[in-house]
Amino acid sequence: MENSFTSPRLLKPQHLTPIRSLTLRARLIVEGAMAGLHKSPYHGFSTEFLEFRPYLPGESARRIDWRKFAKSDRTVTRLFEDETNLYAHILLDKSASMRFSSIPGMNKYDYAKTLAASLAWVLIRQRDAVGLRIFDERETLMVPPRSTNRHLQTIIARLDQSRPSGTTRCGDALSRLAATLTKRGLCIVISDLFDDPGEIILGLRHLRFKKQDVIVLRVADPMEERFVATAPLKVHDLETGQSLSIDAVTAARYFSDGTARHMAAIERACRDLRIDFETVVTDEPFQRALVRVLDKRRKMF
Amino acid sequence: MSALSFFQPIYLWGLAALALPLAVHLLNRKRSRRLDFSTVRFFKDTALRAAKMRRLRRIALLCARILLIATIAALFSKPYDPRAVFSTLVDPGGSVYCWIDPTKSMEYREGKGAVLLKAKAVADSIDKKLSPSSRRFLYDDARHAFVDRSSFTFDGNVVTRWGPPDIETMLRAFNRQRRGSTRTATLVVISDFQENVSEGFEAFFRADSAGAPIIGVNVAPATPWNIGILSALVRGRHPTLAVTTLAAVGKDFAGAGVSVITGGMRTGHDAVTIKKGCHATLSIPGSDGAEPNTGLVMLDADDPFPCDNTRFFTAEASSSVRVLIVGDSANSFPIAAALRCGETSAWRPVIMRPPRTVSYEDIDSARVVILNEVGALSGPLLALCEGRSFSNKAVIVSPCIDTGATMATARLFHFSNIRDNITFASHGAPCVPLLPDTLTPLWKGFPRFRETGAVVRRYVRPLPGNTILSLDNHAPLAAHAADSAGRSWVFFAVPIGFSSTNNLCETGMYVPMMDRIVRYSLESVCGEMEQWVAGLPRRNPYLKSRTGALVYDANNHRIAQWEKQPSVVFIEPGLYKIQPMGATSRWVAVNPDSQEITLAYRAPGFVGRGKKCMVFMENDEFLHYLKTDKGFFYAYGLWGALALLLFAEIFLWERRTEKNAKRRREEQS
Repeated sequence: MENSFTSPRLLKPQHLTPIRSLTLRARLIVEGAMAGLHKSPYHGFSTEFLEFRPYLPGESARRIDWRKFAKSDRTVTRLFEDETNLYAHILLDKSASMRFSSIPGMNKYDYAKTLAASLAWVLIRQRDAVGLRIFDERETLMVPPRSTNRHLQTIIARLDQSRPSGTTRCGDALSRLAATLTKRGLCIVISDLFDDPGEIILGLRHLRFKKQDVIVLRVADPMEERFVATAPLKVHDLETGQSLSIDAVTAARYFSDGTARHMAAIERACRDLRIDFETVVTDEPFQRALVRVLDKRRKMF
Repeated sequence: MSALSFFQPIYLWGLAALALPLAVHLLNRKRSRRLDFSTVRFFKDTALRAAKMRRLRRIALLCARILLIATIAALFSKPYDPRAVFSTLVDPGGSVYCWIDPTKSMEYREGKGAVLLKAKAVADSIDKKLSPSSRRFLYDDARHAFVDRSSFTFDGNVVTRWGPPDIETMLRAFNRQRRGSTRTATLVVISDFQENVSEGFEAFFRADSAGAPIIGVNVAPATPWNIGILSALVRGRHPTLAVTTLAAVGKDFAGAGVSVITGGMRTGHDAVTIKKGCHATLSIPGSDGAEPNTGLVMLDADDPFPCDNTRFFTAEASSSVRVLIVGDSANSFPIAAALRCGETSAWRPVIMRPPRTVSYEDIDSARVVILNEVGALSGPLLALCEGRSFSNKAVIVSPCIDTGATMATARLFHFSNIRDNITFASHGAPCVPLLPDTLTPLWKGFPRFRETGAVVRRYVRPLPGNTILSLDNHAPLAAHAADSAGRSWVFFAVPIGFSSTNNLCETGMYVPMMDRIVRYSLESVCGEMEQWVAGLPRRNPYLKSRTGALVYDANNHRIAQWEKQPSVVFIEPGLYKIQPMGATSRWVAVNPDSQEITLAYRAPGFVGRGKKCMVFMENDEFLHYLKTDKGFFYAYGLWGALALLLFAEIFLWERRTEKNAKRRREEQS
């Protein structure tokens, strides 16, 4: 059996690079993800019965209506109308550090906003209300949560228009969002998390205090995961503009150690706060990243 | 003159290999690539410091490699400082000037041969060490210049001569000739460095600095010993012919025979025993009827330095003695009277001068100076007392007790350390001098007689030197001492003229006592007033006369004619007759230079620039230097630098460990 995670049919970021339309990208990703998983994310969050549908091989046997099978000797699946009561917020970091890319054509921000669009697609298709907040050192865009298809187009259009710039103040953005939330819901934070870990944790704690389920998606470039360089480098900080001349070999060692410590602190805090923490690397296929997130959510509930 | 030269400059081409580490460094240099990165927060501090350290390490490694190659090239090319003393000696483009001490002291026999042979061996060693392209100059004593030679190998070319070394002339010739050449010049002085040679160098460097390096090689005997005659004089007539002073160095001598030869015949003989480091004065009685006008004293001793075993003398040299009496004329009158009434030909003239009016000329012309109760010292008297001039004189001092001028007395009694301890002792009962005390050398040969009329009421105590006259209470009445300037001092404890403190001049013993005292003091004067020294030029005494003089040797062969030449010289010691035109002839005794036969060795001491110019070394040490090339180039320093650089290379070199190699492979993949 072909593993969906290693399937060549999966859309790799470089395959989507020529596709300029974020809508098309999101649709391709979501449809692909759904087809590969054989389990519908459309169902499971609602309890109101909608209709019967013939059972398709590969679907979960839990939803087979055994009573109908006993009567008619046909395997049918019960479908429920997914009427949402979930308010989801997607927080997208658009600081200049998200502009970095070691892969031609696909930087972290492109990957992040594609992922955000895909998630929004999935959630709206589930009739959940989705809002969008894009921030750097301040909140630059806020789209309130709604669940209409038109709203999805609005979110995708806003995502499409945004460009990475400014410095990261991830902790502040989380705290500001938490301060405005009144209902319990879901917050999906998409960022590279290159900010002070203390502030980030403070923001996450604030969100949890507001009874929010939080998913932290750390978007990382492959080079950030494994720093590789052979020649001396003059490193230019995309956010601050600061330049440093460093030696490649020692720089790799110190960067790996530094990021590991940094992310370990955040991950530990997430674990304590019962927050989902996922690292997605920009060379990873979108579907795999999306399914990983959704699957994790499914298991939790 | 360049700061650095090389013995093998061809190896400097090896410096071209310096391009290798440079090329390696440049090829291995990785240009820094600009990387727009998410954040630099993780690169700060340690990474930055590591990058700097790595860059510094690479630069240090490059420097170490460059220096390593340069050091290896330098080791082969043998660099040296042309201004350094030893380096210049073997400079292929240099000139070596050699001066071998030509004085008679180099004839000192040590072991198988003379010291001169040792000096020649040193010169031979230098010659072998020199590059064929080096120029060699040897000092020609007769021409007063350095002569260009093909080698320093001698075949009896260098011989000794009489007379003192002329260091100043030699050094001036060296400076003149080296300044006329563009080559590096080195002067090698091979000498036994007697006192006069060292003094010559010191005096020259005090006034001038040669600038060029000078290497002094000492070939003096290690343990010199000698016995020799320092002076020979005729004193009086029959029976004493000659009074001879002998000195022994380094060894005791017992029973050395001394003979007096006059008119070709041995007219006197004696034997002498001298302890090491001591002097002995010998009076040799001649045979009856012999009246020595001229002659020589010979020492029969098998010592290593025979040049001082013969001393010539003439009777004319001590025939008449000029006496100067300084003091109050009234008080000093008895002294002059006592000398004038003695032997008619002995003390002529006797001049009296008050202390304030005495001049340098008065003192210079007198052989005997008597200072009687001098209260205040004028300039010439101070010069006499403090030894700044006026050598070879007999000085008789009587204190100024009546006026209590203790300071002047102290200065007059300048010998030894008693200057500040002079006291004026007086006794209630008068003292009586022991006149004559025939046991003392002063009264030797005098008829036994006791002068009881003399009374001394007050006297100075103590007296410097050896007591030659005493009082009955054993206090010294007169004492004798000699100083290094050849002066003989007799100190009286009482005034010897008219004085209220004693009545010596009123006694019958006064005249013989004064005569004996003056003679005794004269006997101890080293040298004669008009002494001719072999090899030492003197002003021609007949320069301004119209006639000139002929000079004959002892065999009556004419050897020179003195007319208008400014200076004249006797080459060899001996007896010579000077025959002025139209006047009576006279004999002169020409003897070796007393400094040359003293055999007192010492290294020259320098201050200031002279210290940098001259290096003084012992013979063996110098030969060792020649043999081992020590000091010629910076070999030890270079080897040390090479070792350090190799260590630095190993320390700085980045070893490709397995871990590094693996990491690189990963990076490349």
